[in-house]
Amino acid sequence: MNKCCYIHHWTEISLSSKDNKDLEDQLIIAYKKTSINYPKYYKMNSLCKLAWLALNRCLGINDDLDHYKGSDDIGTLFCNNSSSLVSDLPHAQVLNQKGGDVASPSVFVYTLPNIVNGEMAIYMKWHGYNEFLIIHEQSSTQFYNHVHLLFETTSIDQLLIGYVEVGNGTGLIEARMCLLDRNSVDGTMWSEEVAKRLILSSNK
Amino acid sequence: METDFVEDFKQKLIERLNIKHIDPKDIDIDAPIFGDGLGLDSIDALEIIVMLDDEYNIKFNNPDEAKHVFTSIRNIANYIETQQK
Amino acid sequence: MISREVVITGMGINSCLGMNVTENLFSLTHSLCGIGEMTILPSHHKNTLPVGEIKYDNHALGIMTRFGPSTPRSVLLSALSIREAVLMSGISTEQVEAFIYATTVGGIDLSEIQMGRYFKDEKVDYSVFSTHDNGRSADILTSHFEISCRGMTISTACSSAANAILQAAEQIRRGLKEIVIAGGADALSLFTLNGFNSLMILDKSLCQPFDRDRRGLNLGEGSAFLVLESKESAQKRGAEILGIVSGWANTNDAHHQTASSETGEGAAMAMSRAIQVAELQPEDIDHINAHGTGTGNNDASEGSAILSTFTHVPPFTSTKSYTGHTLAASGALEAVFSVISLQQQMMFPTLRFHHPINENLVPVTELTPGTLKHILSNSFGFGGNCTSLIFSKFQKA
Repeated sequence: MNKCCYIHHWTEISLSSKDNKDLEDQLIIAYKKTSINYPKYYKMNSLCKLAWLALNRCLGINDDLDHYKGSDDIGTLFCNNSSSLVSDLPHAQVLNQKGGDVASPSVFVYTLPNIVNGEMAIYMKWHGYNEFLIIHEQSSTQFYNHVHLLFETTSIDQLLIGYVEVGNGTGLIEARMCLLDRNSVDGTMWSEEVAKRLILSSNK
Repeated sequence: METDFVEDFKQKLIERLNIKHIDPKDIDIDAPIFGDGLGLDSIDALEIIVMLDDEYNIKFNNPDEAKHVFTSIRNIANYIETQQK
Repeated sequence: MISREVVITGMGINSCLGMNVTENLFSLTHSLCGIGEMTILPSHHKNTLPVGEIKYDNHALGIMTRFGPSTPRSVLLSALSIREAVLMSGISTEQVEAFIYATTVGGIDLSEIQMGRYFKDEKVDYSVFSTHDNGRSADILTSHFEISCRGMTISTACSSAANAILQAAEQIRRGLKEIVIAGGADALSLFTLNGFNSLMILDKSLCQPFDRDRRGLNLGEGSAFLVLESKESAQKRGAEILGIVSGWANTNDAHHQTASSETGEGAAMAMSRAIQVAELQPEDIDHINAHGTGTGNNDASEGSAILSTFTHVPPFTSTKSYTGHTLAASGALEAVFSVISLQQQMMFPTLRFHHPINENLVPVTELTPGTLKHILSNSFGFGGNCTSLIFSKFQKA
């Protein structure tokens, strides 16, 4: 069942945050360092911002980000433990502070983890398979098998997989991302060990 | 000419819409706010609707109603002032 | 490469139309809309926003399911529909090799009450937050039903349950699993009601999907599950086969976080790919259970996608005119409705339809018999996720 596939462009980002404002500030500084002009970045929540930074670092590693744009055959599979908590909390706060009547649309829009997939698809003009999984730290075997299943069962040639975790905006903030390629013939093989490395939080 | 009210409204808008990366001096209060200019989109339009209700007690029944008001910052500010009289 | 036929041997459902398959079928057949006044969810919008609410509170659901009082509503609803599906299939839960769950709300209905208390400086029951996570719901259910494998939870907004069924179908087709339970649940909550309201896409009256004058969607709640098996497994144990999951696809519209593109590119791609996976042609599709939420954007976009995918538009309907939009659960509810349609050889109407958006986009408006072999079901979610599933009639040899 498990045909070999290889991973490329392994990318890791980690930073430490005091609170939501501190995280937002750090993510803006990181964006400006990329010298990429993408004003939509500012609208994203911090989960999407972190994914965007990781994606650019991962796929732009050889300065050929454009090579990957506009494809129908690149899938995205992202995961984390806390879903969209970083937006869920402010949404709940707004609801409770305003007496339960009023919500902020720009916050609510991000109270779903798969908006990350959507934002990356908009940025890269990708129409292919997309999925967001909420996982446990013990999920590595399941996750490893799931990736193989996706390659066996969909028409995707490549799969961008990423663990993107911002929790509630404080503490350890981390992202790990890599590109799996069905057609490549060398590199690091996708394995349970790699799956574990991807999803295991450095907090543990 | 920018009245105090328009200037005050502009500041509130910048806070609310998360466009702090744009220098307030660069925001032309007479320029179209959607599309290329300020880069606002449909979600921002909804956020402005919520803001008008929240801060100025002005209600819209649907986003289409707001379309002809939400042309420029000055236009929205003027609309608020006339509604409050 | 192994390629097994994926069949359905059990299904369970609850919604504002009823608490099981029979009750839902009755409501659908008799044009009984379940959307109406909010009586259980304690919202300020009680008198202004109609919802597809299940008229049992958590206390009653807790008794029906034998769960404790601090159980999230989505879990309670799931327990009922899983029970129905398992009983119908005749399997024992020990035989279940995978459990794929879908929800966006998870335990929010309980958590948000405690959040409210927190902000009012009232005493908070923090233990409630242990059931908050989406993934926790799957754990509670696998434990309750003594399913030994770990559950997997998919949260892709309104396409979640459709994606859960897709995942299950893939695993069975490839010979990885024999018996899988897939489906989902979403309960009404203040979190989602107020969030959707801020996007101004809720209708203050009963929704009118695909109508020129539609004003938005009505939120609903419910849960539905399918027992999916390989045909070999089902036949070996002499199970009755209710239908086949023959095609599926998942794509992204890549347009906007919460709105669909004008041309419905992602949707058209999902429908075409699902038809390819089923090894069919567009003209083989006899009926479409559309996503059809009733919003200006979805119905126009999905309508465009249907027109571009099919030279001759098959009869299509929106059952959300009956149930409202049950968010993450909708793909599973509509899977059950599709199977019911195949069993009954009947298409259910889109209620309250008067004027088309386009003369080529007139949905089914009355209970209509038909020769139905293949039904396409669409589920499109925030984040641009587009999932299409195809359900086919099982022909007994």
